Amino acid sequence: MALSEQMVRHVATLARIRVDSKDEGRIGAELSRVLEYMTMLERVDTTAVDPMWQSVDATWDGQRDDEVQSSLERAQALANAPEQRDEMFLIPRILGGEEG
Amino acid sequence: MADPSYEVVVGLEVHVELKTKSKMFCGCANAFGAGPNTNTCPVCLGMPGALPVLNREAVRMAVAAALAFNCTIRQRSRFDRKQYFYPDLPKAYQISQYDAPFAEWGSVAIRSGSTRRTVRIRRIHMEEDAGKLNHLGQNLQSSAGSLVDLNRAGVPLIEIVSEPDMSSADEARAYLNELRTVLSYVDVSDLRMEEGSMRCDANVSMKPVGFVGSLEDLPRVEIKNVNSVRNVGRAIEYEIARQSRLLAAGEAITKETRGFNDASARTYSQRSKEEANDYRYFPEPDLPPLMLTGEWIASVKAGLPTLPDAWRERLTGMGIADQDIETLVHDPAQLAFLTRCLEYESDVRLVTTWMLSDMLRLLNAADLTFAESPVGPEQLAELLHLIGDGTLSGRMGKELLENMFATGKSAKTLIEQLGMAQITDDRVLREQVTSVIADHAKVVEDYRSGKAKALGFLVGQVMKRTRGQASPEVVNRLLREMLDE
Amino acid sequence: MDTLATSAGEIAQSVRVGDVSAEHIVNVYLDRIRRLDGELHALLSVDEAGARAAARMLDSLPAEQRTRLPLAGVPLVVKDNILTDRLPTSAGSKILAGFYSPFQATAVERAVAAGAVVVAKGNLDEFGMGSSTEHSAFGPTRNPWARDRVPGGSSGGPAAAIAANLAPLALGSDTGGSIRQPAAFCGIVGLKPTYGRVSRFGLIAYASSLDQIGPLARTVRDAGLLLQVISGLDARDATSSAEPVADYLAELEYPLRGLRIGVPSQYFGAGIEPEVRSVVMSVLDRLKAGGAQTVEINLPHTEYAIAAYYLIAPAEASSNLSRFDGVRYGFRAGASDLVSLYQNTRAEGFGGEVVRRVLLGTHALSAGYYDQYYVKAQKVRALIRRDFMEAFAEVDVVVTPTAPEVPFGLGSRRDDPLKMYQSDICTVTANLAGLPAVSVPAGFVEGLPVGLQFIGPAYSEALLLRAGRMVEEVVERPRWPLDEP
Repeated sequence: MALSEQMVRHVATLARIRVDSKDEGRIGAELSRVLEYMTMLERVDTTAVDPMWQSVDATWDGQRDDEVQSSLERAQALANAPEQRDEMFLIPRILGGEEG
Repeated sequence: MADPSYEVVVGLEVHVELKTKSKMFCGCANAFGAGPNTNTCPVCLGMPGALPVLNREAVRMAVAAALAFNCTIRQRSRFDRKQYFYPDLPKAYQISQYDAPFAEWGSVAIRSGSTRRTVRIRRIHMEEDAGKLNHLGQNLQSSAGSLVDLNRAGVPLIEIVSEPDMSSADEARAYLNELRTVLSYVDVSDLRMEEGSMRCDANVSMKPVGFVGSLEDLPRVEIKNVNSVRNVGRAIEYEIARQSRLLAAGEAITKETRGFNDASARTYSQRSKEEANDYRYFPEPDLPPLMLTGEWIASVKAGLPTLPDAWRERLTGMGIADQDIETLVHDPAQLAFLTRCLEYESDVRLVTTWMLSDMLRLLNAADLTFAESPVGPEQLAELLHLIGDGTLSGRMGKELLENMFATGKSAKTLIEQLGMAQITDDRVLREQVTSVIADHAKVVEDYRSGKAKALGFLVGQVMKRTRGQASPEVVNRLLREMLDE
Repeated sequence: MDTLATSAGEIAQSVRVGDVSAEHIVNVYLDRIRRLDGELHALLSVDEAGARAAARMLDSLPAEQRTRLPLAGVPLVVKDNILTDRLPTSAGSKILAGFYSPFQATAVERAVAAGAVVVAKGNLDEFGMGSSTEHSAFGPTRNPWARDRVPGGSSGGPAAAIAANLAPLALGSDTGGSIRQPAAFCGIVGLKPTYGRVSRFGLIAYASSLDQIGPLARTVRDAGLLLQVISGLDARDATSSAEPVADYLAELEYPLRGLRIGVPSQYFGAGIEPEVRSVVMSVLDRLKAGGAQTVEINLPHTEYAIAAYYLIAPAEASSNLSRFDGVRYGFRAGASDLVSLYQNTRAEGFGGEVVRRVLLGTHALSAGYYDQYYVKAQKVRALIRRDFMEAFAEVDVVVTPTAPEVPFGLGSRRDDPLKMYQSDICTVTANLAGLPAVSVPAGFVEGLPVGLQFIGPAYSEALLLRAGRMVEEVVERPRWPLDEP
């Protein structure tokens, strides 16, 4: 149940958050304590219980008609961009292959 | 080329963009080719606080497509988040469907050469498309950076996942072509592979003959994002050869993702990531479950057009040759033309013959489809009537069709304008026949002495004098009558 | 009139009839903000010019238009995770410092359309993650009642602003108690609506299936006034409800007799400070004397609520916060390649508590742990809701202390996450079950406010407000800490 430093690294990689190696032990210990607490859930008998997921009623279907609404002005779309070029968001080079 | 102790196993995952007016979860236009980042809003830019709202028409199109493949529609499905970081994916998750896709277990009947088989569709799910990256410099490897255009982000897609039921590149091509044909009938996508509105991933593995385990256990190679039917075939062919070579050399095949290089016609290994993807799917909390009533599904089904297989059956019943049937079925515009034409002219064989020979030749020369033909189905039917009732000879008909094509005018109009009608009047023709007989005493002699060929010459002379307008049948009859007296 | 001594309802009434100008009201509050917020730090940004302009616009409206505005001229503080168009929205995070949204939240839009004037954005724990407002990237807020103590959180800024009368009304958000607990700590009224009652469009998501926007005010009636305006279906939030909105203010006028109040033993036992418990029990005694009934009830799965909540909320948060990647908006750290850009931006842009929860949530959704943690928590969540459904067959509302303690000292909790999480025990269940809940002032322990919480069935906001009104009637209100003598 305890989160090893290796697992902290794995989770931090998935979450794309750099964690300094000196902090891996501390974070692992903190998360382990929290996860240890979560083990109490194992005591609950949930056979034949469906996960709840969310709390929506069925008062409407939550869908929209296929109508084009005006988009943002491009300047607005790019207004908060840290860096842009040629009316697009600029990012540094991508190492390795594509994902997805 | 392949080792007979292995069988080729191919499965395809095909992404098809739906041609809704607006995107899947926001009101931005779903349009190809707009200036970068002009079709974007807080929702498809993944801005904080924005929420997705599902496009009802995208659902209808997706369900229509699935029904066309005989899928079972799940009445209660839901959306899930597929999570990974990439700059073309603004929220860092794609709204997709994971373990409760809206459609499952359909099928596609394919014909490859003389073999016919059914490829099963395991599932179809809905998801949103990602944006596009433009790499600075020559390619990704040497690039100094990339530019992100999110116009395409959020365009509705369906992903059609086949079972690994194909065993050759030809079958994969046949499957893709049939998929396209069916989808074009349902009319839910532009289906332009070059614009990316249809994209294909191919899974290729080699199964030892007699292998009884799960196909999932075979080392499977996934070729990603191939951009044409032709290239899917080439990529699979290359991959079969590559894997066969490895097996022959006693080497193992690695489970991996590969790309396809168009120029070299080879697949190449895409560098495997440091760790396997863990997409951390979970139900999308921003969207309610997708509930479809049986009644609604039935109404979508009722709205489907006659599909290719039903057409094949119908056309076969009409006595049309298999070869012509396939030509017709793969071009819905042609089929629509045929159907309309048959409303005015019931001789199916006559109509198909004219459509697939003269019409097709003229259209091809002008680079037009049947939908764009200057001669409409009703005009063609009129022309065929005029031939049928003897107003025009077949040859005149062909000439007239070219004229109709060039001018856009109807057959009757042109006949009047050009004085082109066939002369069938006995009295008029009898005059011509009489004068030809008088002018060619020698030939008449030949005929009477038993040279049957001589009659043809005399007919030709009458035709010449009437500038081709005389009805050959009438001229023949009159000549015989007069000569045999 | 003495502007500062009056309620939001009275201010709006005076502006409507023209007794006082909106501009005057706004100036009085802006002046107060300038004088008092330096020390409290309840606010992250103040829009003096915009607020005055909006007030002048209201004053220039024809009288017949102004009389239709339920919040005419009422200054409003908006928690800084709710998008406003004139003021920046940071969510209390460095990663969004200086972010200007191109759109406004539905709740803000509706309040403004009703005549409210947005004067400032309220401080909060970063992205709503915390119960003390100490986890704001821009420094903590002080509790107006005891400035060495926390105001609660995460809506600590808005709650402190109301208690200090920097505005008569505020919008907060509540994912696990973030409106109610700071309302309790600051001696004011805070209501978390039924999930779906108020649109989440424009609320920067923490945990999408738990988040709700709701009102903070000094009185139950004022809370109802704001709730009335912001409630109802929003086509931009697919999880919002089409359930008709009750007339809260009208219903408040009906006295409530024979209210059956469920008292769950699980919320009055160990873990609740005895002084807090006795304040709440004493209010219950007074309510009973007034004709209410109390019924001992059992909510057996309560003890699992914290564990379920701290799996579900961080899991959803890990996904919702993935969009903060330094590509399209917000903070970007220096980096020479894309993965470093992501990793550096998120490490430098997020505070410690956010990182902790994102890592926890990522783990809970990751391969091999999803069923054990996330799915299990969602099943336990269903049981927690079932407990409430069964209870509501017996009683009208459930009563609990809002928080197990009185406001704690600034800096006294930061190093013990689990202890901090456990202090949310009284509030998280309403979010897990999707139920409405209100916190009303119940009294004091050594000068520190204590809140009492009612939880009701779905869409019972009107009933909760009436029950809250009953409490107001039996609790003596002391002088506000910073109101002028």
